[in-house]
Amino acid sequence: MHRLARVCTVAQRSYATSAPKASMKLVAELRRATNVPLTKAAEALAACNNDFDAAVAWLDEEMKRTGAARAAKLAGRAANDGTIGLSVLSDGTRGTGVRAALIELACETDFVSRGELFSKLAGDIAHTAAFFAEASGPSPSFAPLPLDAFGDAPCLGPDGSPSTAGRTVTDAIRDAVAKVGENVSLRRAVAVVAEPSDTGISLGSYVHGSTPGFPSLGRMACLTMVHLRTPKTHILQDENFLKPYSVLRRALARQIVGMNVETLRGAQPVQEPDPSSTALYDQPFAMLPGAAEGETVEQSLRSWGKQWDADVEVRDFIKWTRSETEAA
Amino acid sequence: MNIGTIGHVDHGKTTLTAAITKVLSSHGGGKFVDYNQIDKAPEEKARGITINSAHVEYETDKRHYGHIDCPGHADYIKNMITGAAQMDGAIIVVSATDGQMPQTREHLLLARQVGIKRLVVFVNKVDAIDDPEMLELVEMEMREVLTTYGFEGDDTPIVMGSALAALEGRDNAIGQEKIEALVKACDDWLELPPRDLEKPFLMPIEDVFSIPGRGTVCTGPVERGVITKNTDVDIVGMDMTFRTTITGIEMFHKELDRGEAGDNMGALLRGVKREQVKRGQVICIPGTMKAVTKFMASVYILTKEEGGRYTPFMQNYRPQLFIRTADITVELKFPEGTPDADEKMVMPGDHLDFQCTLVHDVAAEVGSRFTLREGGKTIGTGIVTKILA
Repeated sequence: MHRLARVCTVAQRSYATSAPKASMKLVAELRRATNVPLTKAAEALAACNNDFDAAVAWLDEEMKRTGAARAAKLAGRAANDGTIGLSVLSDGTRGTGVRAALIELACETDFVSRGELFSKLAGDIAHTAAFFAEASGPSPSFAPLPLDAFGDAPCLGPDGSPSTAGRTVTDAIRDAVAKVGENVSLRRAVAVVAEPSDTGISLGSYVHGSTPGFPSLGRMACLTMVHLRTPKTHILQDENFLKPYSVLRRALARQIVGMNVETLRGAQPVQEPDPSSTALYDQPFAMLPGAAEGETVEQSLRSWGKQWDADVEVRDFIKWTRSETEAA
Repeated sequence: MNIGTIGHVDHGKTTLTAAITKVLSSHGGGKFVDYNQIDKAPEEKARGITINSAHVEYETDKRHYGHIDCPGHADYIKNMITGAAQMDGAIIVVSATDGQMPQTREHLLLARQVGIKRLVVFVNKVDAIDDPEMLELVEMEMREVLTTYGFEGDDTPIVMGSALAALEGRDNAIGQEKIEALVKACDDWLELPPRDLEKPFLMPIEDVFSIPGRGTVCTGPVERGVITKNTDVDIVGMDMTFRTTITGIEMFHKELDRGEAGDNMGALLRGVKREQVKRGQVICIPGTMKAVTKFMASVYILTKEEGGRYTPFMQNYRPQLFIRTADITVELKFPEGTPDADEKMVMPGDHLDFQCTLVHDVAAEVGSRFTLREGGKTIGTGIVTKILA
């Protein structure tokens, strides 16, 4: 059909004096394929003599050329909505390394942030951040990614393949701006990387208020770095240990999100759990199924470790809430 | 009726609203509200528990419209649940230059979710497009997406014009005339919600008295409808549903023949003992209300700043549910099929769907509002979306 359309317009062109007119049928099709604004789709087809594939390529070029200007035009507008995206490629158990990232992608309304186009983009960016991040130093830590440099990384698709050849994270965001017409921006990104070695670090994560259909995107998200030391290294391969261990790490992440945790430890270690404390170790462990009444998180962790002859400690955590920071 | 505008930020919702007030005020239907007056509702208000943007009103020959702007999905749902704003119909605004956008889908989903059955489309900025075929395409795409999301795509009125032209008083053919056409489409196509007086009679029982020599009298505010003496009624809820007859109506110690929505009245019930009726039940026209114990609801959990809880809760949480005058313990569960339901937590500020199970039955229907309380403090508010049992 594309070829037919092309033939027709070529014939038309020999009589026409002005630029050829876009075929409405192709405009509709191009819109379905790319989501670009109507006038842009028509312009692309008119410029390419109704050649569908050429128009797609033309749009790509056009985005690169004018996308930055368009994005700059909208950049001044308040973007108070958006999503936090989490990607855990490897959580550090079963002898693997640690590789994970948290990103915040902002937009103006939740009509956009609930949508598929925006959600896919946020997921892809989180994945890209986790994939390309480098170890920050000798001991693993949550390291902020420099946004300018990260913007030049090739944006990965959901299966880890580059989504479009040569398309960077910045390009992908500009595309989204052109399609949804809102100020879309990457507000912050952080990653944690550790090589597979016996550092004993593994991750726990939790996403709260997740977007329907996108469990790793939400209103709040938390990553915790848990350290485990044990003489019985064989349990690290044992499902009977790994399962409750994963429940424990997730419970810690949920506790941090749910119980308004701000720091790991209070000024002084406490003996009685304090529900009003914002220090994780001083709170009662409400989120761990079966945690003993009257124990602090610290005490619960100790008794949990005893069962396995292990020593468990929370090294660090990072908790983000959507739109809690000012635009960069 | 309340009408909302939904659309992309740049597609001219505010201009359209201003244009409607301008055109109608020239016919004597309301006051002209200019662009900058509409837009000045500050952001913090829009983010708070109420959207204070319903201050725009206008009137056609047939109807009075209260106008609501919908800045976001979550904000609007919250307002709907709390009863602060309710749209009965909507105008979807789309720019002719962009056509429908990826988020148009979310706009329509919102309209669906809040129970709007019919809407009207305004294609704005048509003066920026000189190819009539392009406008046809905009219309075609809109009809297609409307149908996809369960609206009557083929019959929905689509009006093409320029709100700015109408506001600036130029190009009447695409300006003022199109605004008039849009308003007429709203009058003709959008359905008026029934008024309280036209609905079947319902009165929640607030208090019960036994009057020697006369019988049992129930008092309460009439929520809707009209009742006359010697009418059969159902007493519904609190596990004691039965039928009887109202033999007398009293207000301010006077015998009357009739009570209606807004009245605070006493109803004398034939052959009913004091123990048979209690606060929390309702008196209604037979068959119009069912006593239910299990339903789906859309619920908003108040933040601590709004006076709600400080901490999250999990599934199987059992607060008190207040609906009309009833106060019943309810168990909240996530909808069936929710992944990881056992470890999913609910935090203050969340709004989500719950399956609610009551320990006693109560008169409720789709659209009934309720609050959730615990230890003397309101922790949430909700609206019934589906009756299960």
